[in-house]
Amino acid sequence: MPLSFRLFSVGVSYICFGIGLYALASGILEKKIKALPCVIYTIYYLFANALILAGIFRVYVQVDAYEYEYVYVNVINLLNGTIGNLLHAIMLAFILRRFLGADFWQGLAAAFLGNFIAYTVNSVLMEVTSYYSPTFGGMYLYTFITIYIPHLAVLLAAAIVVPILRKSSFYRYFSHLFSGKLWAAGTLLFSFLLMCVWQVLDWLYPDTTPGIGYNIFFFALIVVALFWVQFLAMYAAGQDKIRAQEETIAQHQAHMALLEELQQEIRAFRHDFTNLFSGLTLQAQEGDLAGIQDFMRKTSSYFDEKLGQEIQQMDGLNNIRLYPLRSLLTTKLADMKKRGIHSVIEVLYPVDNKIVMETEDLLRGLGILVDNAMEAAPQTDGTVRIILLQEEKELYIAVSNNYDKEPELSTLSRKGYTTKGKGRGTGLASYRRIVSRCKGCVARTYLKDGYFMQELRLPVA
Amino acid sequence: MIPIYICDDEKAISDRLVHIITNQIIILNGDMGPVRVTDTPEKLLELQMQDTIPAVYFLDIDFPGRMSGLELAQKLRLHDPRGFIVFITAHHNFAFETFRLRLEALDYIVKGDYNAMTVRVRECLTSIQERLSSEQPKNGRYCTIRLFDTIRHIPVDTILYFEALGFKHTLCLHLDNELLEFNNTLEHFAEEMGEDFWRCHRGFLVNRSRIRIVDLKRQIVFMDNGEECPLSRRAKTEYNAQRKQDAK
Repeated sequence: MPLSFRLFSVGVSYICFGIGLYALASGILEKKIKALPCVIYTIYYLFANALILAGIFRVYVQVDAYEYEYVYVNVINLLNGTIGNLLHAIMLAFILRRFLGADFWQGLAAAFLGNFIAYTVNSVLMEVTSYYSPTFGGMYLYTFITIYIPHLAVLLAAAIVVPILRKSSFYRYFSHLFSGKLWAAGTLLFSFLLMCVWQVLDWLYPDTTPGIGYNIFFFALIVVALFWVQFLAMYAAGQDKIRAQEETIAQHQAHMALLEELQQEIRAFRHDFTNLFSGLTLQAQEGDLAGIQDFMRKTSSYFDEKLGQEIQQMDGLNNIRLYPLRSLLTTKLADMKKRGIHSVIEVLYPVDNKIVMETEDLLRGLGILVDNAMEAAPQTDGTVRIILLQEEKELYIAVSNNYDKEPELSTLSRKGYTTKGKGRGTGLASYRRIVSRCKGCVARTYLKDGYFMQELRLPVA
Repeated sequence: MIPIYICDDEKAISDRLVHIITNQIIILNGDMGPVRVTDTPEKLLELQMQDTIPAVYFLDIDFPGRMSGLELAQKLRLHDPRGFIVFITAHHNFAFETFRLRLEALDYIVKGDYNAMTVRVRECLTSIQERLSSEQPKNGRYCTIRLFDTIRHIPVDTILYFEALGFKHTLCLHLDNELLEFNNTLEHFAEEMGEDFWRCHRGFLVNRSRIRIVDLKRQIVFMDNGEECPLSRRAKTEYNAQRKQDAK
């Protein structure tokens, strides 16, 4: 067989593998599979492996004593496998972070898992094909069957696995594993071990001839891994559900408190009203027209002043059909009430779930804005206004607060700006990250009439 | 003369308003009028086209069975972006903040007591007069930015610099007392703004006229409001070359 054909085959197999790895990892992270990072990673993968191969070759040549050669090759194989894979995974994580904005550690774990899937598919098929391939037909057919098919199968596996992962929204559970540091470390370690399983086994039992049992073992391993993921998924979903329920309860409590207050005020109002009216009746009996007119002038805005605000808040909240958002705002409003901050919420038209931004991002972003406004509002006579207006093409959000000392916008844009002392103030930075992640968003920060304004305009599908 | 429009479907209210407004114009000796009254939003939109802009609009907040006051105001704004909009409402507590922010509505007037309405109308008209007299025709350059369906015209001399936020073509525009984040590319603005702006870094496009000091040693460009932009090595060499050329 000519060298060029050999090199070509090796190249093709690495290219397939690289693309497969990239696709799997971005599938796990539920990111769009983009062409440019894919090409970059594939090229990197191809050349890095070529270098490693060249390294092995050199070592192989240099060793002359027969008994040492074996050990050397094994060590290099381990290097080739584990360390090489680790390098590739780190590289992939970097690329995912740079081009798709993924978290580095999540990207790394995804790269490990993708590597495991691709490797398993590839090796199992390699065993099977070399076992069953026909002995006739020459070397070309043999290479085709034993090299091309397993590597193309990696692509096929990626094409099958990625849509499944997307459909089952695997990333939701996956990202849940990274909510805590301990969990994240555990997940990383586990996925790393999964990735290494092949090399470690190879190293420990180099003489094992792969057989049916061997393959079954690995399929079992995949199944176990899937169960593990499934279990975690269910666990995560359970946690989410509990949290959602707690949130709903909190929301209901806040709502109840609002209603109770309204009821109290209506009672007081009724009391006032009967008193006022008895006076009015007296005046009417006496024919005191000027007095009645005076009374009308005084009381015309009485009802609005007394109950208007609560009713308006309720109206506003009821217009939010995106329930997590409503729950967030209800709790924030209750919080402001507790702290003695005057709050205004205006939601003129229904806000629904047609917003392009991810709901989680929206909640986080709005939460940051409202929290900041609450912090920045003065202790006495602080006012926070929240405005949501959903129109045909956009959702307009404005959160504003008054202030003691005029905030300087020039310092605000710096990273980690805060008036709250050390260790805080990551809010604005993550807000900016959320905004820059959402396509078509417009964010505006400015001062107007003694209010610090934060505007966010989101496209609506 | 600045035309005044009233749009309200309750005749009693619009009659009263006409009375108040004509009186107040005479008292204030304002350059305003004539006062026109319609009872439907559609007619107002027609009327608007027949006279000059900017104009003053007194609009009911709600027209049962027709477009809402908000929609009407949005349509009026399309033709008259600098007009003055005042809403007429029955309640004290309606979502005025929304109107103020979205439509730059000036104020609102609560239907009811004659004297209270008069006070409110006078306040509105005085503030309109003040704004008109303080507004000088600006003939500097503008930078146009399309945000959703609207185009914002930003006076170039209020711009400090554009900053690329790195991810997905997001830009942050630093203005006097304002930050604006939106999707676009620095290349686009570098081309549009031309020679008045300088690419002092891959991710920064600064307004030359707003630079206070270029610190070559520390590689920082200081803006006149105290903000800092980084200076890249490439821009530094370009800057030096330019200075040498100018010196010759």
